[in-house]
Amino acid sequence: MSDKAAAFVKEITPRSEDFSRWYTDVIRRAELADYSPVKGSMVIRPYGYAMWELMQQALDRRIKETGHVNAYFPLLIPEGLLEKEAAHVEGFAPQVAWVTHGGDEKLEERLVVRPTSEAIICTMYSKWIQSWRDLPVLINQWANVVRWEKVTRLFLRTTEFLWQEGHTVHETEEEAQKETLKMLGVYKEFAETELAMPVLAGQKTESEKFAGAAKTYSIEALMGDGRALQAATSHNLGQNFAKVFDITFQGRDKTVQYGWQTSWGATTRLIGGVIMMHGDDSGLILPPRIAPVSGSDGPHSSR
Amino acid sequence: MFDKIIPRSEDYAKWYTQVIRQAEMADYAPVRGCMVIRPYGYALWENVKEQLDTRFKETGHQNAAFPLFIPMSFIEKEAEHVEGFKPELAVVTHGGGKKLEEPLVVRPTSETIIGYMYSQWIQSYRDLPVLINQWANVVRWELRPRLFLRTMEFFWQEGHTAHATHEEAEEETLSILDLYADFAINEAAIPVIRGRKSESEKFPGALTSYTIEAMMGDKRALQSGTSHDLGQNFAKAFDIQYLDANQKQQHCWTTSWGVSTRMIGAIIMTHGDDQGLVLPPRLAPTQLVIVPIVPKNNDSDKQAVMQAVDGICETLGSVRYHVDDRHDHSPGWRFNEWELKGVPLRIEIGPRDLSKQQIVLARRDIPGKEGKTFVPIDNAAETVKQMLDTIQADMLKRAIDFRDTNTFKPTTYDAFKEVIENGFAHARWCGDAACEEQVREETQATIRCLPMDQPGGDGITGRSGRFHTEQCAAYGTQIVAGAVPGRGGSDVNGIPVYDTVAEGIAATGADTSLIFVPARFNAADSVMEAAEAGVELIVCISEHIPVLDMVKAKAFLQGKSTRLIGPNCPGVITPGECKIGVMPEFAYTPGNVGIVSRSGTLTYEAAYQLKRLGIGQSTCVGIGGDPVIGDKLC
Repeated sequence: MSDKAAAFVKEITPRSEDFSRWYTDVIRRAELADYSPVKGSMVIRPYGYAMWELMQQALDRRIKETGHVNAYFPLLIPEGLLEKEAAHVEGFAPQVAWVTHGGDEKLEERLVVRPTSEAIICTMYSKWIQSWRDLPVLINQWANVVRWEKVTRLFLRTTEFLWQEGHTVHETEEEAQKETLKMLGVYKEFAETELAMPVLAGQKTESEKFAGAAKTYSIEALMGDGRALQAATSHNLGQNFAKVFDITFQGRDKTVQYGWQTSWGATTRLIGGVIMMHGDDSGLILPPRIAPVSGSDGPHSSR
Repeated sequence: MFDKIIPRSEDYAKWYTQVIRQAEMADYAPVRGCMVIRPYGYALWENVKEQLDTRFKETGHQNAAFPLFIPMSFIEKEAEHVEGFKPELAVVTHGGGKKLEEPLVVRPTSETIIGYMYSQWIQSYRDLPVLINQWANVVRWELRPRLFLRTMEFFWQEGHTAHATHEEAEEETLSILDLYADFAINEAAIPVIRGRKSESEKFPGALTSYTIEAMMGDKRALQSGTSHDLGQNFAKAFDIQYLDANQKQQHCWTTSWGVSTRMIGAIIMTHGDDQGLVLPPRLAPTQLVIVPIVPKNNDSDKQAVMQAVDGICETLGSVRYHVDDRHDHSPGWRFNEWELKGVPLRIEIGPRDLSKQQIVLARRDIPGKEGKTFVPIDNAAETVKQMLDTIQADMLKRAIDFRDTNTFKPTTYDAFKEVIENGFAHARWCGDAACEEQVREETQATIRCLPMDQPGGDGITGRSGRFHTEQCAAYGTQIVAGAVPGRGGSDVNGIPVYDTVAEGIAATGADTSLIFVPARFNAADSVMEAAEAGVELIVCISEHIPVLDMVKAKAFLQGKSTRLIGPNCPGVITPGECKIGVMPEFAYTPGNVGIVSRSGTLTYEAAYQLKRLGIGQSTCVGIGGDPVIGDKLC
C-alpha cells in the first residue's frame, strides 16, 4: 500500500477498536454521506447516492416485473387521518414532525409529515376502489419519510430517510398473504443477488410487528459486529386499515366487502447494511452490482 | 370514466382538470392544494425524469440528496431570498413529541441548505467545479393551486453548481438553459423561447435568471424551466469560499436550475384536444395500443386474430405497446379510452382485416378518417416505428405553427393592448421596471423574457446590428450610413447601406464607425478597413476576436489618427445626447461623473447605482476586456 493510502487508512478506526466509529469514519472518508445542520438528518453525497440509484433501479425492476406500478402520494397528512387507525397512531405519533404554520398563518388542522403513507394512501384507495374488477391494486411509491429518532446513525437510522413503500389491495385474504410473502421473497432475492447480503426471512413477534398490521415479516442480516440488521419488511395488514378507511368493493357475489391489504418497504438503511457487512479496516468493499465505479477497492475519492 | 369532457373553447381551465382526472393522471388529495400522481401520470413523469437525468449525467453532473427540512435561520440569511419565499413556507414547529428549539422549514428550494454544505466541502480551487443535482419534492404554500401547474407539493430536479469564475458560472447557466430547450423541443415536442427574465421577475437572490417559455393551447405563456446565475450572493451569505492558485481566499460563483412536474401540465396543454390527452411518442408511457376486434361467437376467428396480434408484438422491438384484449368492451369504448389517454398510435385488427392481410393504423394526433392508414401486416412494425417519428415531428410543427399564428409584433402601445389579449407580443422595452409595472397594471401582461435570439446579427442588416442601430438612432445618435459588403444600395429604416466604409464616408461624411461584425466574419478586418477609410473613432462591439487578429489590427492603427474603443466592449454613451453602443439606456442619466471600465455589465451597474443616488454621468466609455484592446484612456 502506498504511503498516501496508508495515511488515509490510518484515519479509519479499526472495527475491533470501535465498530461504531469505524462505520462513521468509512462513510465520511469515502464521502458517501455527511451530517447536516438539521439534527438527525443526513446529506447523501454523490458517491453514496450513486449506490442508492443502482439499488433503486435493481429493486424497481423487480417491483415492476411482479406487476406493480409506481405512483406518488402527498408528503403532508392531515392530523385527523393519521388518528383514524388506533394502533397505527399509537405507534407513530411520538415520532412525527408537525407542520403547524403555512404561508405565515397558523393552520386550523395540523399536518403530519408522513412517517409512512398508509393513512393517506388508504384514503385515496377508498375513493378509487368500487368493484372487484378494480382489484388487485398494486401500487408502489419511492419517497422520503420522516420519523423523529432519539439516536441517529448515518444511513441506519436517520430522521429523514428514502425508501420505497408498496401498498396493495386484494379481494381475498389468501391473495393478500400470497402477496406479502411474494414481496418478502423479492427482497430476499434482491439482497442476496444485488447486495451479496445473505438474509434470514421470517415472521416478527406480536410486539415487534408493524403498528396496525395483522402479520409482519422481515429479512434479517448479520453485520460485521455480530449484530442483526432488519433489512426490509413486508406486512399483511388484514382488513385493519380497510375497515378504518372504508376501503370496500362490490364482490363477485354482489355483496359489499372490505379489501385485504399489504404494505412492504426497503430503505436507505440497506446502504448501511452493505457497509457493515462487507467493509473492512481499509474502508468500503462494494458488491460489484451496486458499485458506482467497478474495479476500485478501498476508500474512494469523489474526484 | 367517459363523462363528456368540456370543450376547451368553453372553459379551458375546466377542460384541463377534467382531462387529467378522467385520464387518471392525477387526483386531489385530502390536503388542500396537494395532488396525488396516479400511475399513468407518474409513468409520464418517469419518462421526463429519465430524459433529463441522462442529459445531466452526460454533462458531468451527479445526483445527491439533501435534507427535506431547513432551519428557519438559514432561509433568512440571504435577504432577497427570504423576502421572496417567506410567505410561501410550511413550518414544522413540533417533532418527536416536543416543541423544536428552532422551527424547521419544509424546503421551498434548497439553495440555503446546499450552500451551507458546499461551504463545508469546498476548500480549494481543486474542489471546483461542484456539479450536483437532486431529484426531490418541495413544498410552497400556494393560494391558487392547479393540478401539475402549481401544487403545494411538487416534484422537480434542482441543480446547484459552484465555480471558480463568473465566466464558468455564466457558461453553466446558459448551457443548462440550452439543455432544457433541447429536451422540451425534441422530447416533449414543445417549442420554447429561451430568454432572460426581467429584474422584477427573476429568482429572489439571483443575479440573472433565464427561462424557457412556451405557449399553451389557450394562447397563454407557461414558464417551463429556469436557470439562474446566482453570482456570489449565496456564496457570500453562506461563506462558500475556496483558496485559489495564488493562495488567496475567493468566494465561489454559483448557479441553480430546475424543471418540475409543471412540465407535465405543459405537455397536456400544448398538445391536448377536446378528446383528451395527446402525448408525444418519445415520452408517452404507452406509444402504441393494439385493439383486437373479435366476433363474439367465433372461436377460430378469435384465435386467428390473437395469433396475428402476437406475431406483430414479437416484431415491435423497443416500442412501448399494450394489447387491449378486454373483449367484453366494444371496440369503440376501448378506442375512446386510449384516445382520452393520448396514446399516439392505435392498431385495429379484426377478421376482415386479417382476410386482407392488413391492419388499420390510427393516429391520435389526426382525428377521423384522415388519421387512418391501411398497412400490410408484414409491414406493421416498420410502419409503426416510422409513424411514431412522424407523429413526434408533426406535433412539434403544429405547436410551432400555432405559436407563430398567435404571436404579434405591435409597434405602438395601443396595438400592443389590442393584440396581447390573443397571444404573445414581441415588443420593445426601455428596460425600466416602472414601465413594466404600468403595463402589467393596464393590460395584465407580464414580460415573459427577453429572448436570447434578439432581432439583429451581421452589421446593420443583421439581427443585433439592426436592433442596436435603431436603439442608438432613437437615442439621438446620428446614424448616417451602414456598410455591409454585397448589400450596397439597400437601406435599413431609411439609413442607406454601402458596400464599403470608404463609400459610406464619401457619401455621407461619417466620422465614427460602430462595428458589429462577428469575429468569425473577420471583425478585425473591419477595424482596419474603417481606419484605412479615415474614420476618426471606431467603436467595436464584436467579441471573441482572436488575440493575434487584434495584434495585427492594432499594429495597423499605429501612426493613424483613428482611435479604437474596444473590441468586446459595450461602447460609448453621453447620456441624454448620444449612444454609440449597446448599453441599456435606462441605467444612465446626464451629469458630471465620467466612467471608464473594462467590464460591460459592471459599467451599467456603476452608472445605475450613481443614477439611483441622483448622480449623473458625463460620458461613459467601455474600453473592453480583451487582452489586446484599443484606447485605454488612462
